[in-house]
Amino acid sequence: MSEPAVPSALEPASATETVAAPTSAIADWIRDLCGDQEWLAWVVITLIGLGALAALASVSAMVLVWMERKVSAHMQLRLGPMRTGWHGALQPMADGLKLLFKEGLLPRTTDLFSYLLAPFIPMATALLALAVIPFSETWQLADPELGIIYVAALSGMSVFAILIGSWGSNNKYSLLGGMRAAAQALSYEISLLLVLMTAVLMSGETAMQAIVQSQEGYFWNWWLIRAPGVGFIAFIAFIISATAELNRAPFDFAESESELTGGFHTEYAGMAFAMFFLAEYVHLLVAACLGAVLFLGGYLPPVPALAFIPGPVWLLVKAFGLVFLFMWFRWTFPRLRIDQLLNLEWKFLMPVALLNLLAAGALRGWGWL
Amino acid sequence: MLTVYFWLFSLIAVLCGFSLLTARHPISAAVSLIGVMLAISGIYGLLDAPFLGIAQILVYAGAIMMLVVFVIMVLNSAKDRTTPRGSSYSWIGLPLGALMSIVIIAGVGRSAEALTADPDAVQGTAQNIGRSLFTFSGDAATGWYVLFEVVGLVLLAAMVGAVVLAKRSLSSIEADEPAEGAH
Amino acid sequence: MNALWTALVAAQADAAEVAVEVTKQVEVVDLSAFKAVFPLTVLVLIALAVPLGMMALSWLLRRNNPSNPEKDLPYECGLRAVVGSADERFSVKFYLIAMLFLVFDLEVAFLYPWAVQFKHGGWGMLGVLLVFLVMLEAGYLYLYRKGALDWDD
Repeated sequence: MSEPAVPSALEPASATETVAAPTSAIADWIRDLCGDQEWLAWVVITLIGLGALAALASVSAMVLVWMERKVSAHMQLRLGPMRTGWHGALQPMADGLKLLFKEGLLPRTTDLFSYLLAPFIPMATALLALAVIPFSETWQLADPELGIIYVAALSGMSVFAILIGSWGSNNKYSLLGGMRAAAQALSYEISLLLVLMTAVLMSGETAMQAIVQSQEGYFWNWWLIRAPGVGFIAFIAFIISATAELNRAPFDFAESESELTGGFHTEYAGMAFAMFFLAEYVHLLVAACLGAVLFLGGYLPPVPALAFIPGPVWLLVKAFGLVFLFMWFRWTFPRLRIDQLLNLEWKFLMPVALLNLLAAGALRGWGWL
Repeated sequence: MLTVYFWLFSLIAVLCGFSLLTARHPISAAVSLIGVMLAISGIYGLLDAPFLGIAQILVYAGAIMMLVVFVIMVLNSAKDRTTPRGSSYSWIGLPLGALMSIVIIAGVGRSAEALTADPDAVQGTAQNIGRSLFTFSGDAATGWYVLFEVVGLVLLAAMVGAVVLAKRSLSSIEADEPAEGAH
Repeated sequence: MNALWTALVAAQADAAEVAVEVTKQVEVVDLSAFKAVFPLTVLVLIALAVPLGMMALSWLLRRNNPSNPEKDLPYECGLRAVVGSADERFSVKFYLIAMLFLVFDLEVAFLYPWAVQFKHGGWGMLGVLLVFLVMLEAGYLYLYRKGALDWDD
């Protein structure tokens, strides 16, 4: 909404310019079709890209729901959904259809405005955040200089949705879940932001595309490995804060089923519930993509010899690897208590992330990066 | 062409501001205020100040509004459901507000050219801000980094102040109503 | 004949020049502002339309059974009556979290231009940050010693 790409006198144009025109057979075909009308080709290509982004969001949300159920099942020596499609692959689709036809409940005591507004926000922020993720050199909707901090700001807005949704429900479980979720997300956003600053500092770049390009070459150029120690600590801190930001186990206080029934979405039914649910998974994908871009070389292959496999595939492979890690956590670590969670952030993770930022600065000052 | 966006954002901001004033419950007012802030961050973007726009979302819409909502929830919000929409003071404020809007609309309307960024001016990107804050030598050195340190002092004061306030009220609440407080 | 030929060639050249100018004018139309806002505008529209469309589709397809007083109660524990109101007063600790978050969020917002500029600044940048952080860490230590970071009673 707020990254205009008008070049200025002082600024080199590359920093804020929108991404280079996509080079692919389809793009060339559209350009041929439009002939002289270059702007028309540009508009059509942009629209196709936007449609692809929305499609990616919804398809990946379904894939992730399926993956969550299968991973959970196999970790518990179960099979999980098996009946709809191959190994239950169509189960999320069936669930979505079921929710589409479900009645939307509207309890009498809700605050109508916030109750109805809340489910829209997380879905919208998730879609907006996907726009700055670079899927390859050219497959990126916008590459603003502030892309990283833009994603962080959007994740802050989706926390707000949880808060007003839980308050609007006027239900004790919802409100407790919402307040816990907000306190948790606020706390962990600090270490998340500090880790993002560390990534900016290590690479010396701001735009996501440039951060990926700074990891060119073999996999030991990825920031996870290349910055001795610092990159690894930053990555661990990123994973912990992202897990907390996403309200995933072991930090799933927002909807700790065993104590708060459904947490902040107790009162939501039908499509409104589905939107919270789907948005959660799109946010999971965004966080995993962000981790892959900052620390794992984004769309770059681990060894240049594998460059024949296209960039988007590499990014998604890395992102889904991280998603698997998040799902693994869920069945490995027991849920914390709220005071343990806050102590972990304020007494451990935040100081560590801050010192790590200083260490990254020192390494750069010595010219080791 | 970008002027359209200016009017769009201003319209959103004004509508949200109106809903902020007429909201019955403080939380609804807070939600409207977030709408105002998002619209204003869009205007910052139009004015080639993307960093300010993002900081507006991150700090104002994210942090400050969260603080406001928390304060509303820490206070006893059940009583606030029946807040009247206006009071006798509203009748003083209404004409003053109308006058103010007329002045602003007239002023903005007269300068329709300057509603969006001047392409020749320096952009308010993070790089330019960083450059002017942290240049220590050469012609471009401005010394603004001293102000950066002063901000650190202000933040220190804010931190200490928050603790002093919260700890005092924490002990007073616990003395008053020991069973209160869900955590 | 020859003169006519030269005149014709000259006229053609003029026409070609005019044509070039016309195409140039088409290209010269400044689209940079449009290109900057168009994708974001459509993206915002999509981000609004997708959830709205999902809700509208569901609203059209689903059947809404008539409500009854029990169905409209907020969920509690299966009992008919809901005990009290959900407008509970929360612990002031949440206020403290929000306040501290605000302070550190501002700190990070100030750190971003610093991190961006770091590669041009060298050791001076690290010095500036150290002074900044020493002040903040003094505050942090004060919080720690005061017990403001102890969340368990």
